[in-house]
Amino acid sequence: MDRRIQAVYGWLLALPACVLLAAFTHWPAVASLIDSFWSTPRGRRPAQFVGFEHYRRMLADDPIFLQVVWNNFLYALVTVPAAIGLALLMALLVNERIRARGLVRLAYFTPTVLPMVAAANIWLFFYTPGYGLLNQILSAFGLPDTNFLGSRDTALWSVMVVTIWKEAGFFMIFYLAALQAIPPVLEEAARLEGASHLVYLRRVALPLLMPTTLFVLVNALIGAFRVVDHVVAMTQGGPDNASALLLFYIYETAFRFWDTGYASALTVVLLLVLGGISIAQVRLLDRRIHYR
Amino acid sequence: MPEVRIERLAKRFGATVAVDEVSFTVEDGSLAVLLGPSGCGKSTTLRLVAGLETASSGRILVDGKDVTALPPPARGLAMVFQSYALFPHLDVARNITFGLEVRRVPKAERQRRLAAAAALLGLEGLLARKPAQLSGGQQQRVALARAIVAEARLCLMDEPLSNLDAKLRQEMRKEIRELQRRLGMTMLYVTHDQVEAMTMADRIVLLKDGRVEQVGTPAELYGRPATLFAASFLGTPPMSLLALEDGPEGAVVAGSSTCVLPGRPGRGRVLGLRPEAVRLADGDGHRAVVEGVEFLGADSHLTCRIGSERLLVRASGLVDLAPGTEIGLDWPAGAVHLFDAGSGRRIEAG
Repeated sequence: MDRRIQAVYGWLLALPACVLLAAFTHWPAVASLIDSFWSTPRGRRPAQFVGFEHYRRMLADDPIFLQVVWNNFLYALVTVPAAIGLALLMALLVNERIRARGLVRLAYFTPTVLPMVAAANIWLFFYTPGYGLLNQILSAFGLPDTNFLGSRDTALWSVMVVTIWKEAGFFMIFYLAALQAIPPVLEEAARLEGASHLVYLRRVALPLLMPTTLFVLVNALIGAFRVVDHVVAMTQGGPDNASALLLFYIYETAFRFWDTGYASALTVVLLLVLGGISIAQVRLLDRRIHYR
Repeated sequence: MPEVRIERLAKRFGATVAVDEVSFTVEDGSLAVLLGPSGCGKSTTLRLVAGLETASSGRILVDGKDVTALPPPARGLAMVFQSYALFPHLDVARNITFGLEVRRVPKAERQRRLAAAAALLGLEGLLARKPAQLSGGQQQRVALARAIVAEARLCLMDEPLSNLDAKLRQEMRKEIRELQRRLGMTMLYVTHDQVEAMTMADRIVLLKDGRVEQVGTPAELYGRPATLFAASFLGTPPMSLLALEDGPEGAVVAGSSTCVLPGRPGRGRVLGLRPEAVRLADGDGHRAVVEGVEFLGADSHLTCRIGSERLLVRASGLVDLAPGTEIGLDWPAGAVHLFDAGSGRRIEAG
């Protein structure tokens, strides 16, 4: 009897978390999967079962989808390595005995504290044609005025810069913590064996940072498909979908064009991509990583 | 072949003086131990010799060559750290050959030296393991192998045995000493354990508060300690130190009328007696009261009191004396050590 009451208490305590998780994570995922096989209900016409029609349309009849997937692929391919590389560099720098180390660390971390929308708005000013900071610098060197966010060639790259700037500081914190967990005696031992600082970094520090790199990599890649606040704030995916990312396209399809069935199918694709990335990374890299 | 000479070496961290004008010499092919309590500057001295710290003043000469300003790898030495400092992501073989790879030693030569070092230390079966898969003693051997494989003639050791259990420590003591002799290495060895120092060293450099207290062979330090500190630091159980006073016929033990040094002054002096030098005398001898007896098997340690001072007596076999028993103690004149209570320095006979 006592045990059963205890079990009831246990379930009651877990209930709020379970309800929230089920209502906002698990059920929507399952519902999206189901909805992706049904047409969008309109007015008096209820949803009809259409099978894989939405998926066929994606691959055959939707050039915007292909463009958006390509954009997102390029976006991840550039921002993830750049942000991680920059994070590592900054962490190595602020791990050294430099002057005003605390201030430099704070400065590197500041972008992380800002909401993405705020960061995007700051950069909106930097990119403004005519009197924006970047164009003022360009004109000081006698270079022509550029509409960074308004031109097909530069819009996506301009969005990438904001992402790298925003993410690098966050990842730096992880690298910094990992670097400080490496006993300094290892560098001394390496030095005595004739290793320069660079050799030490390459052969000792970087391999020991691999678990951190995997963690950061998974997070960065997921972030690359998951965060589109800055696209909304800066370019609205334009011009001509040049800077649209997958999640932004799903948002537009669902809430602007109200094509919920097709949006569900797109969401399923996004979930598959994210799941695939995580599994592949853990499988591929896990074997080659040294965990302490 | 390296001889290491340290000349008035000093290291200051801000206002604190970690190493204060230390001078000593390690002869070629010998093992010198830097001994002292924690915070005495022995590890800092070693790190100065290694080049991991920069000297504030003074010189370090290896084979007559001034290396004080050289970076660590240019000094031609190997070092074993207290924590072993093995690279956790590399297997044993790569740990041992790390320095050789960095120095671009050809692969065949690397393999040859690795095989030799592994055979010497019994690591053949463990070469593919990671450090985390090794016991403390095995890790210690890997660290030693890494030091040997460099074929440096000077090897520095920073408390290499302090992370091992007592039995293993005893084995490794012997093994390191044999290795050092066999390879003819010059070794500078840091420890706070006087047993390690006594059993391993050709010479002991005893440090206290960053200064050299005494330099000598283990027998010299034990037989003729130069200071009160040296007298109390070496030996288990340590030397008994008894404060003296002036008496009518000569120096007496404080708080008693027992004259221990006829015709000599006692005030401001301390009498030192090794426990094994004191004998139980039948009938005569200096009067003492037994305070306690510890039976250790082969011998017994008697804590005795003369006046206000305590002294320890080591008697062989079982000694069955109840606390409070009055006994007579005796010691040969040659076993007496005298120190100045103020300066702590040894006073030679006379």
